[in-house]
Amino acid sequence: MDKVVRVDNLKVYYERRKGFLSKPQYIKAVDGVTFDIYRGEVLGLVGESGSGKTTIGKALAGIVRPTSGRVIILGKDLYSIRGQEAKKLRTKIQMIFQNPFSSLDPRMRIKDIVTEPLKIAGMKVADLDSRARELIEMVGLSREHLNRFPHQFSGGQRQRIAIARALSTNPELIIADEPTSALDVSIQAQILNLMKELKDKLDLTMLFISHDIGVIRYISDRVLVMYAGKIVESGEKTRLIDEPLHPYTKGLLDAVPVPDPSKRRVNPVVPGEPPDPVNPPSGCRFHPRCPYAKEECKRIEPELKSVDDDRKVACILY
Amino acid sequence: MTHPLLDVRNLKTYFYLRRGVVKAVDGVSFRLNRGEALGIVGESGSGKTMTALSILRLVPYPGKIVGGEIIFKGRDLLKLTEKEMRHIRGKEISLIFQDPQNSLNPVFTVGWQVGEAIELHSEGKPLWDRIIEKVINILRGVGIPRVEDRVNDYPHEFSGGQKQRIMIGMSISNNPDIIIADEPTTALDVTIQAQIIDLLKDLRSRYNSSIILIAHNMGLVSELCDNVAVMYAGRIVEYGSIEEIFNDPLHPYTRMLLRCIPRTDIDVDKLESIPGEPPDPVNPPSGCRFHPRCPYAKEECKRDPIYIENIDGHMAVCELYRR
Repeated sequence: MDKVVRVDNLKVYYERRKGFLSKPQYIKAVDGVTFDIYRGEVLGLVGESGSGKTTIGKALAGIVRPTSGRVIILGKDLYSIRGQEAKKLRTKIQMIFQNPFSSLDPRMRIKDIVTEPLKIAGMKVADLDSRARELIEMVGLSREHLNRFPHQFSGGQRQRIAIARALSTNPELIIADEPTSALDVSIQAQILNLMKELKDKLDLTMLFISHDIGVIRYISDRVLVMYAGKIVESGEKTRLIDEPLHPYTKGLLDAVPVPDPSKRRVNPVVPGEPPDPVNPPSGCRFHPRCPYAKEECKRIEPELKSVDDDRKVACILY
Repeated sequence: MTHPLLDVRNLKTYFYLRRGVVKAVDGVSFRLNRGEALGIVGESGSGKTMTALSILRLVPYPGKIVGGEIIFKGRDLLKLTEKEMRHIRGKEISLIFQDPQNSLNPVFTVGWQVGEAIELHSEGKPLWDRIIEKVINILRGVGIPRVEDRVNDYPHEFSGGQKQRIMIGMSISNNPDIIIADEPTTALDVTIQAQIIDLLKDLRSRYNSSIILIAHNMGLVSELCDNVAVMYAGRIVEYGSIEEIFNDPLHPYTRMLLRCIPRTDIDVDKLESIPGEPPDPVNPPSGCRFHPRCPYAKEECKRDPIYIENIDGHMAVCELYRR
């Protein structure tokens, strides 16, 4: 299968100083992550806050330079190419952000917001208007909306505008970072349906970041589960969610409350809290919270290994 | 029949803005029994938080409670003086806020803050050492590790989950009859959310307190509550037991809302979505406020007064059931 993205041993550390003269500390937001995204698939990236999922999204969008490792998009190394080549590649990567109230410039008209990536890509001004009309109708709004400003729209409508902007350059990769978590469920459903419909129609390739496993199950084809900067499990979504292998994935899925009173949680909840990203635990980072942890778990850092065709797990139990 | 612990009757809380009047809570009635956990669910702007704040008479300016009764243990809270109300807040009815980050005071230690809640509602003036002893017991009870070393720490030294535990500790410090939890886990991760829900369940069985859980997450309500009120645009559109609401919802809004939720336990091809958007709060639609978005809407739905179906306490405000 055709790979759009190849991420190879990606590490992103943020520097933090407690005081002016003190030694810097490194927050290991992403700490050695390897995965591919294939053409036409939606890869769901799930994890709790601080697990590194947004940082991965930013590294793929070209916003955060990796500390080490490589991000290869369409066969080119995103962080070593320069000039025109880099500009051309970057127009092929678009992002949809979490908060539609801060991701649209309040002083720009919708038509300018939607076509801004095209101007940067060098499209002729004469063609912009017709493209703007095409885009706005694609996301379920109408032409009359093009001359308005963002404050005249609701959260759901703004997210539609953000989607139109992301689609403007016919991107090869879309990175959606929690695009529906600021919305009410009834509006979230509209946006998810729109994204799914557009994905089928335009054969989009997408990295979809969310903390909501229900959303991930609905929209994704394959899922990566992150914990404390590492991938703990990956695989096809239905099998991964119905038969989780890694103890963290199990605990995470168990913790999600289901809207069905006959399915109240019976298993004990995962104890403790996520680790400090400056000094993560040795060995498996989940071991202090893991009900199956053994002595080895403190020493051996488990690798992400294939257990069958499409499933990978980072746990010594397998 | 015994009297309910709390009986809210036809509560109306309006906000007077330059643009017009926002009827945030517009004729809400429900009852809460001792030991019961009631969930109030709805999307943003449905009036669920304002209902909670109205019970404690903490509605922010320019909002005002303009009508109704809130009968708590035989007294109408809306008729009490501000001084009498202060004895109710935090002592008999307590509130857990959504965001533990902003609801603890950053310049005081947590021990001081929880202690203050106890001191304010104590008879006479107990010694501070005695209060701190009590604080330590409470914080241990809500699962703060190494409490003795930590009572003199400041809020920023605790994680988000621990801060919410401290808030819950504060809210139960005077053994209140009712704990109102307004989206207590929205700011937290799912594994921490599950821990907090376990804590609330545990406290409920330990102290037989009643809980009002305000939430937009239907899963959370299903996990914790006995009864549910579903709110839409300032009104309760359906009320019933947890089984009735989740297995046999009557109101079209409740039905559609449940089918909008992306489920973790089943695959669906297409989510149901509710067309349109919630109404403008200044100019809500006449009659049933859901009618412009409702697939079953008829002419009658546009008219007031609205029809209320009530079968053994399972209540839906909908014309569909008029025979």
